[in-house]
Amino acid sequence: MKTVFLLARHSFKELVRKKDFYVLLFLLIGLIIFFYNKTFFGTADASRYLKDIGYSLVMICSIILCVTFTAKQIPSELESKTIYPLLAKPVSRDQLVWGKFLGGLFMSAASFTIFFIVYLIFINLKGEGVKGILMFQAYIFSLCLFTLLSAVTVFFSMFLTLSANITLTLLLFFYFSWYNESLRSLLLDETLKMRLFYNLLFYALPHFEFFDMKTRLAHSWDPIPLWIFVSVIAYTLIYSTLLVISSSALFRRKNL
Amino acid sequence: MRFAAILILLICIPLLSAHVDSFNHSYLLKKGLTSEHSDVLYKAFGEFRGFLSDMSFLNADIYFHGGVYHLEEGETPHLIVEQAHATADMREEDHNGHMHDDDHEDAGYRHSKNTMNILLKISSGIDITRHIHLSGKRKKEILPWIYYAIRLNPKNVQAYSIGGFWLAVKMKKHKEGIELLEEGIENNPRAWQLYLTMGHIYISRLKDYEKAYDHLTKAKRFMGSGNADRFDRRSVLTFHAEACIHLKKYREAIDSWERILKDFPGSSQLRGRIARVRSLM
Repeated sequence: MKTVFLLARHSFKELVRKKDFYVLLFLLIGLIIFFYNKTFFGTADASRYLKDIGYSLVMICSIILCVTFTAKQIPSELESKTIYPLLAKPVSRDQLVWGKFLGGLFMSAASFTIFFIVYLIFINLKGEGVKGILMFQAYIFSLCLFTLLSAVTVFFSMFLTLSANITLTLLLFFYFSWYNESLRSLLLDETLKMRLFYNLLFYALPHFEFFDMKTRLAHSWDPIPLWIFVSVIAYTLIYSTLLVISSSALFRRKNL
Repeated sequence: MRFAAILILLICIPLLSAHVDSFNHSYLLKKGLTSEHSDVLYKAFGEFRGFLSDMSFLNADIYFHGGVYHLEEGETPHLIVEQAHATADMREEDHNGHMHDDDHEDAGYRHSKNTMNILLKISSGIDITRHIHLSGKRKKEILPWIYYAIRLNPKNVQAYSIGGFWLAVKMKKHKEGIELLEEGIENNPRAWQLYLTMGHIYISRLKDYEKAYDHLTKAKRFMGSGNADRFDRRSVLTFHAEACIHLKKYREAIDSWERILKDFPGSSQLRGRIARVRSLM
């Protein structure tokens, strides 16, 4: 366990060294200030669009960082051949995969936390603000999303090149965030043939749409019921663990 | 030497850019393109702006329903329906009964209570299955999307018309509503819908019948060559007749009503009105 966390800490340190995070942070602050100061037909205190756009910006910046950073983890070690001295130390392949996964997750969580704080400062300064419980749920769900995204990215990095991995993960993310509704409608259709197949598909595909709190946050809806909140966290942990275990199994068989 | 080279390059850049800029400008003029085409948003999005503008307008309707998209296929956005009701009846207050923050269960939403699929249950539990109608000061939340719909496409007549109506009639910001409609007319001088909305505001809110008459006369004129149906015609002509009555132009008012009768021959109420006004002449 200690080795895994050492590897994760090493990955996390890269965040501080890399410029990507700072560029996105300043871009985010600039854009939020722009939208914050905008007035519409003499009305300055319309705030829901700021909550909506701001949250989307925070998520997009964090997702880009999460996927690009996690996708680089193992391929860059292989490319620069630093993986050999690493594995020569008492570090198993399983520990390496878990370490890289946790590194990606910690980095994403840290950058998202900073982006989210900036966002919260601005939305609490303008208009109706946000309920504390909604902020908490949105934060936890976002951490769950980065856990799942990091796991998916690590899994794909076992058999895809860096650019293919980034493209496929982002495509999967946007596709299932936007179009999962159509698969759900299909399953609710009473006349559906091959119901078992579609049910299996529904279980197998990652449900990124579970973590989207934008509408609830922007329009001050009620918080998510507790049983769903707990279920989503459990779903994330189970799905991500299965993916990382599968990644470890694939990595063990890999010829280096 | 290096300093001199940098200096020369620094002088060359503005000279070259001035040449390129004047070339572009004369090229655009030759092609019959207007200043709109040199707009930043046009350069960024091109003709895609129209689509983005429509999306932004639709988002205003979604915001009005608390962020929930609830339109069935082919259904008209609520913001437009509200204005259509108000202009058809000239008594928008009558429709305020529907303008509250009450929750509405979405009829079209498909529940998944009977399924054995746990993920399906979670997914349904996360969804928001109701929608609200914004009321009071919260109505302002739709304004950013109307604003962007207009900025993205200054030819979006519907966005101007609905924006002007909501500002002046629903939010009681008369000055801002009229300014927006004036800008819309400047960009779309033959759009009868904008003159109709202007007329509506001047009659129902500002009681300035002279200005209402001017705008509604223009609406009547441009409507002939536009895409108006009989219901649109009825809206314009009803307001026009109303303005004429206040200005004691009884003959014109009767002309407008008689034109409505051509489209709606069964309206006994209108016949009664015509008879009453005839007795005043």
